[in-house]
Amino acid sequence: MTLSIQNLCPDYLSTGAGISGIWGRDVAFAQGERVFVRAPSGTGKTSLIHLLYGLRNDAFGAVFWDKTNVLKADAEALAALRAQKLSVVFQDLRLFPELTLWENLLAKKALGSPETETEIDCWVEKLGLRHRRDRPARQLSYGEQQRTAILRGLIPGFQWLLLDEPFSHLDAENAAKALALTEEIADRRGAGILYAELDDNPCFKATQKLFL
Amino acid sequence: MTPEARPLLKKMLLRGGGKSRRIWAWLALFLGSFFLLLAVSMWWNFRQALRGSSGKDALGSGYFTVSRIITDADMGIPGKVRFTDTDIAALQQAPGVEEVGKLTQAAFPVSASMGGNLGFSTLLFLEAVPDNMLDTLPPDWRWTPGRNDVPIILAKEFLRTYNYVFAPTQGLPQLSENAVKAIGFNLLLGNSPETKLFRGQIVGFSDRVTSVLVPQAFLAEMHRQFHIPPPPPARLLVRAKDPADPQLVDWLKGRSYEVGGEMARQATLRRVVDGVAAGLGFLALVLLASGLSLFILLIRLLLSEARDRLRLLREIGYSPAALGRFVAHRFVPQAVGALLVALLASAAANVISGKYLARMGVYWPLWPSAMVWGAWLLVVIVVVGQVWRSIRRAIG
Repeated sequence: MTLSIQNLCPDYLSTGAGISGIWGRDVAFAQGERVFVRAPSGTGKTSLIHLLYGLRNDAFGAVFWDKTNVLKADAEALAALRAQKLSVVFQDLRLFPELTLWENLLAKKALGSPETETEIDCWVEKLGLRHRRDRPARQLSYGEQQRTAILRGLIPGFQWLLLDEPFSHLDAENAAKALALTEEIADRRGAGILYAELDDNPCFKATQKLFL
Repeated sequence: MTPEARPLLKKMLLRGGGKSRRIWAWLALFLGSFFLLLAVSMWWNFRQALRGSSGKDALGSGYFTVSRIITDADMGIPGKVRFTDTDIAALQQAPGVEEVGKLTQAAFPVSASMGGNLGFSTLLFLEAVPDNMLDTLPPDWRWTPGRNDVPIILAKEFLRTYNYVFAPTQGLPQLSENAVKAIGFNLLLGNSPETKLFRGQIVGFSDRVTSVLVPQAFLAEMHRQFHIPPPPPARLLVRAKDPADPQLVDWLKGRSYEVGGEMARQATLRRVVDGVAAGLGFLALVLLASGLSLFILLIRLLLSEARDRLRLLREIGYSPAALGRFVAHRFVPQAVGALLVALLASAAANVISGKYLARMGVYWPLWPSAMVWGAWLLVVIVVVGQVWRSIRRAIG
């Protein structure tokens, strides 16, 4: 699945063109690419992720995932895209607080996943969350919740994964583990990653780096 | 969405809502549809009862008598009250009329007398109608030329008048139908010197025709023997699909025809029942609308409480249609269940009332009519449609 961003600019950022590597420009990324977007505060990093994911459409231009313009797509088309092809790790995590860590993962797996529950359980183990598996998400620390959100993002057989400051609350060791697992799964799927962060992350093997 | 999503969705979306609120909503939906079906059933069955699917229906058999209204100007002109063949042909074409029978009168004097201690004697009249239009056909209702005994069907109304009005005031004994059938009497026809004497015997009683009836064959033979042509009928016996049909009533009124009291009563009765059924139907509709609103409100409340979870489910890839189907799977069977129980309850009420009315001689269909099924199906479609719509709206 190819990502094509055409002259995209959120309504509130009328002067993006010319400065940004994305806003107001036509850019395209092939599946399997590793795109790093460095975005200092206030440049619209989360807006970009939300626009690419179809959570908002208050912008000029277009975002095509193959032939689907998510800014114009209806709810069912977006659901089909998100269920299988396009995954995300939100900056604000967006877990179900009343569900346990494991149930949060199952809620995503119920939409279909190439992985078995045993494999997913191995990922939980890798990120050091096994002992917290049956705890409601609201009782997890923010770092644990962040790792849970990352695991949830890895479950579907995605073709693209969007990451919005996914390791912001992890220590270096846990961040490295989470990034390694993310890249391993993306490689296995032949999927692309679009990773937006405030500062550069030298551990991420980017094929393209853009400044927002 | 795989089946393993169900327990999670149940945990996220269908928690709470309040058991008592659910019971109230269910009850309101049940009661609304129950009363609506009852109103439809009552309205339809009453129409059937008035049409009279049975010949001995207490509420009317579809038969009534027609005669001309006698005005002051018509008094003393015998021909004025009679029906011509053209009149009869026109009546046969009137709205809803299925059959018209002539009430042929004896054109010769008749008197009845009993010998013995009673010393009873009275002038009498005789009429005849086609056998197929009678509400009773006793086994000995037959007369062939040469027979001396004449079977007679008497109007039940006459016996009632005798028993409850005449006998008490004259100090005479009340008589049962069987007692009357056991009494034979002399029937003297014609004027002296050309008279004929027969033995009359009452063999049955009619609710339909207020008259003294003899077999058509007897009357025809007597007219032949007395060399008198049978006079045109002054009364007609009519069978109609629905004697209380307003179109027919207007048609008859327009020709200054008078109908038997039973029919006028039926028309009034129908108006009353139509009014009651319409009133009950309206109240039932209000109740059903309230029940449905309560039911929908409950769903909306539940989904409103789960609003954030629903949004997040959509964000991680759950299709709104699939979520709608999941929620509908929980609520639609509840709604249809309430409607099904209402259908069964209204059918039970119908059977109970039908059996009770049958004892009173009223024809009342025991099982739900096509009209009730149709109304139920319509209610199901509307309720399910509204429930589905509200779910989809709430889910977005």
